[in-house]
Amino acid sequence: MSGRRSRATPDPVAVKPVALEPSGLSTDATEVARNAAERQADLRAERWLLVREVVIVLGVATVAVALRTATA
Amino acid sequence: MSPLTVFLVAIVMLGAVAPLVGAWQYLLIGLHGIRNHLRRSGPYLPRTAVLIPAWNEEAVIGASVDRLLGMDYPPERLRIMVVDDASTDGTPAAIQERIRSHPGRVVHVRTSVGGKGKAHALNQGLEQVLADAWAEAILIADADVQFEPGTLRRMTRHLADPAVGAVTGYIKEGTHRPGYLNRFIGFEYVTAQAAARRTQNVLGGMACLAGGAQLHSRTSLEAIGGRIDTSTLAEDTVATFETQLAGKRAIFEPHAVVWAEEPDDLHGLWKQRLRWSRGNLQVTRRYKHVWFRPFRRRGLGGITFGLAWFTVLLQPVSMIAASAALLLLLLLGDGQAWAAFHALWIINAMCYLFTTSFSFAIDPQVARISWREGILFPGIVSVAIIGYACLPGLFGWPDGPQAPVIEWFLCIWLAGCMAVAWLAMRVEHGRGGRLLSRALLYLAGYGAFLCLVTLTAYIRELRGVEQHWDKTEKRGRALLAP
Repeated sequence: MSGRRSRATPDPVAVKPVALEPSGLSTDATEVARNAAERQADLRAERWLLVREVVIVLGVATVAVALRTATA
Repeated sequence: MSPLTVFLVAIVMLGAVAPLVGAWQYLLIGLHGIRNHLRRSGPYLPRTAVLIPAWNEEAVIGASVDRLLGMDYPPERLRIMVVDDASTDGTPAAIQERIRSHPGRVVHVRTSVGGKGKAHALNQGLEQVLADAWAEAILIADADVQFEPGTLRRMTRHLADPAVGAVTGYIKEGTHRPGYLNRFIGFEYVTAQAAARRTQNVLGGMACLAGGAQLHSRTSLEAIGGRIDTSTLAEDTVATFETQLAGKRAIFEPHAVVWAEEPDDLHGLWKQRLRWSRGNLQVTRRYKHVWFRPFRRRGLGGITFGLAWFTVLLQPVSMIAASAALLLLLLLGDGQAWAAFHALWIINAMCYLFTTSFSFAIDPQVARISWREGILFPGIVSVAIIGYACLPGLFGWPDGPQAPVIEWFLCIWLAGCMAVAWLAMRVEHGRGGRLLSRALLYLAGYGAFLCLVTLTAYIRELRGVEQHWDKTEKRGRALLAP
């Protein structure tokens, strides 16, 4: 172990003027549209998961009833 | 039934609490389609400093930095700081190479004394990041993890809501050509992350931000002291609890995927999980004022949240107790042993069927790779017992096994599976050990191995065994998408 401590400080980066509201949200139309599209796609995926869950719960309930009948 | 028999049957049924709580959590996952934070997210791209602690990570650090810099995120809003914890391998050279190839975007901080643990290294980095006003958000990442291009922006969108203090992503096992253990871990991460953390989003309380991918807003991090806890082995869980106790929300973003390389041998996994388990016990003690206080602490203090936390923690105890109670019922010979055994395993069977099939539906990509490990997660023997409990007539013993040896075996197995998991680890490094170890783990089940780890964690905590940071070896085998 060298015991030294070094730090490479980055050069100041030229920050592009980004359209931001006081809240920090982007107002750039492309960015806003892209965010909305991603959000819609992810929301849709989550709702599909709910549908799949209902199907699986019904399937498991059917198996449980069938087993009950078979072993009665 | 005598009072003793009633008591013993009740103890046996305690063994059903963990699967039932697990199934209840899985039932809540569907609500994530209605109750999630996506509606309050927005197009927010804060200036983000990525903090990567690295101790002898030459095999992985270069690729990780390249991957982070190549993310789909405005380059002027992303900087990386690697906290090199006095590495003695080629880590510093790999970082310096990235500094040259990405001028102004990568920072190298080198600590003077290494190996003190991730939290110490992170605090060195945080001190420097927070001393400068540039960063609006801090992403803490492991040296080996591989971010998908859209992962960071899917995480930052939640920080558009000032009520959110931290966001975590979905860490997936991403080893190239995964071995049997990687496939088990891959399935486990579906249950422990993609499933459990969705439920935690619904409940409004997050148990743990994944250590390898946690994004904090600057204000939230400063509100909890601007430092990572160094007193426990679960610094990420402590940061998660502190964030929420300070009044901010912690969110799981299932669509922000991060790939990680996980251990491919039981010894490596044992070291990693023992650290996690001991950390969780320390967290349980530290936040004893939080548990089961639904009116004072919504989310963390909720009943379901507490049940989920404690059933995992107490599962080894409930398995041993259920096994012992079944044996005693058998010795009493009043015919209740079979009834209790049958009821317990029928509940287990239904919970297993539901949680396993839903896990496959949650992440079909992992299911394609790990379907065998998903099905055999409880072990071949337990799956066979589940089959017998459901259809005893098929096995020729509709009213319980008639052979005493089998009766005894079935009663002992609940606890005995942990002994077989222990044996799997013991034989791993002997001649032909890998094969034998693998066979034993498939028999006992990956779940039994995790229970054994928890049991060992109790013992080490009770004995006050010295805790130290055991690094999980990474060899750069993670790839972006299998």
